Amino acid sequence: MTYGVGILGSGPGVVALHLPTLGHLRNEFQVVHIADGGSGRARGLAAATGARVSIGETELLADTDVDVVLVCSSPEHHSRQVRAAAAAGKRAVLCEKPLALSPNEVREVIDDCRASGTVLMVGTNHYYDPAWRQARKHLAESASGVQAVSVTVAVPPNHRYHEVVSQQADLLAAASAAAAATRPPRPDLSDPAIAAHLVGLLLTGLAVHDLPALREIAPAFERVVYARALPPVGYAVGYLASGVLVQLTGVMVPGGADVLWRMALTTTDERVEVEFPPAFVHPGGGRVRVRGGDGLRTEYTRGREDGYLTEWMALGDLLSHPTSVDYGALEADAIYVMLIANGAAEFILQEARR
Amino acid sequence: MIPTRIVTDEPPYLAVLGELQPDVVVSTRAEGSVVVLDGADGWVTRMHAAAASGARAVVVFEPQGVGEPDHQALGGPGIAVVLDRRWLRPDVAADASAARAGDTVRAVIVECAGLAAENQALVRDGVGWARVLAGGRLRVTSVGSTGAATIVLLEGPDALPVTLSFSTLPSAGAGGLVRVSALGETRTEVTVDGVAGCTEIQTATRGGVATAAQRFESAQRLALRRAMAAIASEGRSSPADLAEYSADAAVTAEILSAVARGRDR
Repeated sequence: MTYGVGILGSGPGVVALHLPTLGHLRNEFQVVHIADGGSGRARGLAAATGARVSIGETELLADTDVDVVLVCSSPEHHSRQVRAAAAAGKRAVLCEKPLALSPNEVREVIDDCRASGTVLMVGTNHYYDPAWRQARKHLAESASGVQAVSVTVAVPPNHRYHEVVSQQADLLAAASAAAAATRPPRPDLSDPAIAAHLVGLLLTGLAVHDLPALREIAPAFERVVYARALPPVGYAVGYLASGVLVQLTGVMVPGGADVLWRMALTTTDERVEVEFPPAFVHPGGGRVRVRGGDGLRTEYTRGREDGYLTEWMALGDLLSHPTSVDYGALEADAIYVMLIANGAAEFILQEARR
Repeated sequence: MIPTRIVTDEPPYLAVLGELQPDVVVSTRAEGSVVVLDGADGWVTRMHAAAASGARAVVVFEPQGVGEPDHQALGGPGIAVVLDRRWLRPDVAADASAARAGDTVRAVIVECAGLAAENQALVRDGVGWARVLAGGRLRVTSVGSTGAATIVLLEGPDALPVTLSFSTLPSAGAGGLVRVSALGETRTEVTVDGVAGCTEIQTATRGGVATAAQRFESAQRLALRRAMAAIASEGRSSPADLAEYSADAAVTAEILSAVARGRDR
């Protein structure tokens, strides 16, 4: 069966990520409707896909050819649009992170989807990357407890990756410019309020890709150990959860080396490293390397699909078996992110008051 | 020609004497010699004793941690002192720094894992790597520990963020690992894994990833050559090993003290 996809949004995540990804899955998904907020970019995108075009969400949600709603709008619209899709009887929603902006909103979204039987998924692709699945399996089989996790991220501007998956240069430039216009060019990190806000945004917008995976390892958030903003734009946050110490360090660099996105898990016996590929591109899954305490090194074969492809494939599986949606896990994931982001922001403000 | 005399009974040092210039000879007399000390407890006292006996240089093989009285005594034996640190070779550290070509470092991440008995030296050498890549001394700002694992936030020069973690591997046969990343437009990745027998320095730029040439010289030969070079310079070029060790040891002591107190700071 081929499911009809309706897309709310026309930013870089649509142009360079989901449309090219769905192009790899033509037998499973077909884009039938794209709606923007009035920018006009949806028309340009639809020209390549043959999809219908509208403004806002009303027409798209009324479109009976739309089975799956992909929510790629600004974060403040996410919870409302997911609930509207559930109310409209859509079969599934894939919502880009974050699902909502407050715990109450999260619960409302989850309750609505659960009540209507709407399949819900949040776009945190690392959780679906075959590399994480392999690492998780390895950890389960080795039965050695994780003591510490370190996630290290360094990302250059996205355009070098956009360019290798899309030739819609004008649309990409317009979408990127619109996205950039919503961000301050150089935040004044000496202002604690700005630093706290920035760290919160980066945790919910960037580090969030790993947090569902980390929640599997360290589910019960206890406290923030440290938090600070990194110039020019970045974060360093340490926290304790379920007795596991977690370090999240990320910085957006103005250029230079390709993306580094590495999760390192230290257990009582070994170190397991998962290195994820850059966003947008499809070189296959991440790399998993294990260094035993005795120095033995093992590298697993890479998965053929990346986390974006497997995320959509997992959605396809859920559409075939909608009763297997774990709404409780989705809610817990979203709350976990908020606890860490809010905890880090509050830590920065408290340190400034000392 | 006046022979260069080496006082040592350390097997790794005896093994490399044949790799040095032909006038190097083993001696039992400290006066006028390069004295190799094992780095077990009390090495600071023995270092001063060697200097007092007329040694021209001292090499310390894998120096262990020093207590506060010894830390105070680290300065000024008045002769060249070379430290042979297991996870921090000066030539490898110089390779890593040079490959960055002065590019801005935006954050340094140090991750260590090893046996409990190794932790102090591991952390000290990890701190040393951070100092090298950050370009100056570090200051501890936060420590969190579960006993089995510890995470630390530090600051380098100009408030450069540095994070450090270390975990204890309880398994028999486990061995220490130091992994360091310096983030920026140029990215440095360091792996020093004594058990696996590998030291790797990788430098990533827009053009790709370059791996530094392997240093085939043994750490012991390097240490002796540096000591002899310092003697030959007649004071014009003296290794900064002791001052660097002192700075790294002070940061490590602060971290471990916080851990021992069993509370975050």
